[in-house]
Amino acid sequence: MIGFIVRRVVWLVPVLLAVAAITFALMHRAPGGPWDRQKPIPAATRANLDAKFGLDKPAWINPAAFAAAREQGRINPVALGRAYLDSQFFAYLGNLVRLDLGPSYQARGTQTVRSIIGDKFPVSAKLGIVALVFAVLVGVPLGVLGALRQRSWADQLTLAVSTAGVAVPSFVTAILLLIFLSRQFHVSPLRRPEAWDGFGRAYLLPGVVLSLGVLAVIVRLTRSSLLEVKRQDHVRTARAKGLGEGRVVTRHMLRNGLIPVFTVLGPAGAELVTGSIIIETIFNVPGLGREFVDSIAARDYSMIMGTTLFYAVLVALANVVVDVGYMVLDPRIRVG
Amino acid sequence: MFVHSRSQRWSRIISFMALAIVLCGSPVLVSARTAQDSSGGILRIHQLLYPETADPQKSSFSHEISFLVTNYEGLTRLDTNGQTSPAAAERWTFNDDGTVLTFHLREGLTYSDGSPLTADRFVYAVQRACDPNTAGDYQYILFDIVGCQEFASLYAEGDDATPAARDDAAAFGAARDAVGITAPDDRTVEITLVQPAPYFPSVAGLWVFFPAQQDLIEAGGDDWWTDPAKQLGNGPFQVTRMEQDQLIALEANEHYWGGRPKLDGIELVYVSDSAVALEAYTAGDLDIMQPDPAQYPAIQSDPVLNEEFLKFAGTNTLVLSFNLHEAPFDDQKVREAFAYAFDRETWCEEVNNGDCVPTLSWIPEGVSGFVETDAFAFDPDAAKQALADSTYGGPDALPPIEYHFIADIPEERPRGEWIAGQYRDILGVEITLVPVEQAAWVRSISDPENYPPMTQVGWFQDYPDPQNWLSLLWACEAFFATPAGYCNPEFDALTQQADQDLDPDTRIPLYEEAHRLLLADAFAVVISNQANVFLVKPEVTGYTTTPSDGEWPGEWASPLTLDVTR
Repeated sequence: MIGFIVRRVVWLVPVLLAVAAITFALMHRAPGGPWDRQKPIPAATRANLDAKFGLDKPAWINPAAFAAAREQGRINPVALGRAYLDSQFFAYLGNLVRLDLGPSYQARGTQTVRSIIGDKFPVSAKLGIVALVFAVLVGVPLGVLGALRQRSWADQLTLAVSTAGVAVPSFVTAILLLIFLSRQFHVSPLRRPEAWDGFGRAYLLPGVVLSLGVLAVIVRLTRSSLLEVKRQDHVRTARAKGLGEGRVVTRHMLRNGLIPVFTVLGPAGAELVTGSIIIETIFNVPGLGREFVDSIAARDYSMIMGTTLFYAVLVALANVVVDVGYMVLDPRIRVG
Repeated sequence: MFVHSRSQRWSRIISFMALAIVLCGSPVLVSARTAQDSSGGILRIHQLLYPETADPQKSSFSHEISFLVTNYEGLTRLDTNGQTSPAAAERWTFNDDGTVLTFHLREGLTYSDGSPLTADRFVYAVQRACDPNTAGDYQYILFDIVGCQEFASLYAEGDDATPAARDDAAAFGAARDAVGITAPDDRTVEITLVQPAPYFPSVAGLWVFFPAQQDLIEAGGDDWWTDPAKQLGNGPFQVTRMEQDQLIALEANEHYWGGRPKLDGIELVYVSDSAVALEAYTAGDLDIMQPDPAQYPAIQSDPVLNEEFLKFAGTNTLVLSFNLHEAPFDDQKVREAFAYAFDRETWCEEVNNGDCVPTLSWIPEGVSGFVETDAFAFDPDAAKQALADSTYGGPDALPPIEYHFIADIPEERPRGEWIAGQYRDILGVEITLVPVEQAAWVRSISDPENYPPMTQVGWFQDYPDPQNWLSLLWACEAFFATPAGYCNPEFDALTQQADQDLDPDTRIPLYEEAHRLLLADAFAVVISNQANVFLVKPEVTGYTTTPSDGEWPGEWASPLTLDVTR
């Protein structure tokens, strides 16, 4: 098991390299750059900014520096290689190894990408955890209820709620809920900044709204999976042995029935903790989701790279957790 | 200054939904407040976007500057008539040939903590703004100062100069000291200009002149501005709290030379979704808010909100710009036809929900250089005639025409469709709508090679002087003219002469003449001035609006008298 985890983590390196290269290529292909304003910045200032942020170097490789180094009579292959790779991309990778994600261009270099992620990610993560816990705590029991009382009114209601959860976009639910609470119960739509410190009540409402999509998936998946398990021989055997209904459900049905649910929890969890621009905008949550989307429009190269790689790591780690979880849930599953 | 249009991308999409909800929802409830009349409290102002950087020498967007002008003050400032008036400097004088400008500071000037504010603080601000390592968006605005451009270009590859090495401290120091600003004594700032620049006292009121302190900036590192303790200001208010994307709180500056403001403090509350802000405003959690155009109909149909709706023209102008390098818009008559065929009244009232005021003058009313004109007013017959008089003889021979718009802003497509429909109905011209992603669009309008055949551009004034509207933008080598392909040597000669003329009585008429030339050339279709629109609670008093107040009423000229009674 330890070997498996180590192998998976080592695999992260080529995955991240590929993500970095693709993101870098795509964002440099997009027209426009970080210093474009409606009123153009003069050439001198632009050159200063380019130099300051290393954008004066070529994007991928630097044959000019290589040639210059050779003319100076350098023959040391390390020095020559360094000159050849003295480019934006490899400079970025070099800094990345030292966990230096560079300065944010949008903030004109006054803040680093790492400090922005460090400030904002915890808030998004807390919100995601609230959403995930809510989705599991409510979704699984509802799904079980639907499966056990198939075609009853409870089942129909569960199905209707989960269909609505998938179909209604979160910004509609969010704004409706906000206006309803404000007008009927005088709950202010605004929060003081300190409300986001710790695990305050402020997370409850956005967390619930954020969870609705995943909640609906969990309900339907639990229900259909349990319906299948319900008819299997080992469940009938358990019943025939005279086990109580509660024990049959928890020990014999859920443990098998929850494996598909567990599979979606990994990616869903990664998605929830990385933040949603819509939820963060409406509830004014100081999270990372907004930063990510804004950075693309602003061509904030280092911020785009930083957040994309950060998300890639999260998704990859979530998948490792899911795979390990499989082995715990079902000893028959062997991965690796 | 720059105005973010990306600001409302998401909030607009969301607001459309909210609008539907508000329209069919219950009547707006105004929460009951306990009546206790006391003035001078905390004014809570809605802001859409948090500053990306609130560093006086780096900031450039209106939502960054609104905070800076509250916390700091330059040598001059705008008064309630939008004119440049004394601020940190009580008076200023030019020498005879207009190249040396001397500011005399007020006696006993201090920062908000009571420490003295001396002339060398302004010297530092300007040197820092010109510094190649600072590289702020507004660096160029100081290029009228001797040595500033050279300092800013110290490391740049020039035609005639070799760049200095980045570790050459001596060259750096020499270039910095060569910048033409000195402090002969604690109360005098002397600026040497490259050429006479009568508009320069207005520039000295801009944020690049704000005297943030060297030791605090250096102690704080690159992100010094995020720490309120390092933002020690000399403005009417002093920042005490900065919470990113959430809140900036400022308190009255007891040491302000003009006396303490009436308000105890200001809270800038950052809410990027307009529907949420409107809900908070009606619930009494905000005193001033910036509504979204999509919300105007709902606001105007509500008896309470309609009373609190405040709209006034801004110092900005929106035009339909052409690519003058290429056919068909290199033909003056074609441009005239397009200008005559634009129905500005319908555009503002119906297409934009009353968000703008139609105009035919490039320089807005109230700014010197403005000319009364009826050139190219909406006239379908004149439009057809102009097109018939063009080298194309009519709509059929015209090459295909594209209209580029920013795809990220949802309202831009219906606006573009309306424009294309107008030209089809009146001129019989078919126009293809081309949606362009925002950053790509911004790049295209500064690129002579890829300038869109037809697109909307706007200008928001930096300082109230015709130079900021004419020479800076439409001279052959200027920001707007070069990419769009506008070049009129006569216009250049007039503006150049006016830029250096110290006598307002001869200077302004020169600008007016140049302005008329620009309009007669049909350089673009002048459309409208965007309005500044706010919701303001009746409890808010003591403000006089100026056209520059883009973030809240009273932003530039009424910080001392603004008040709120609860």
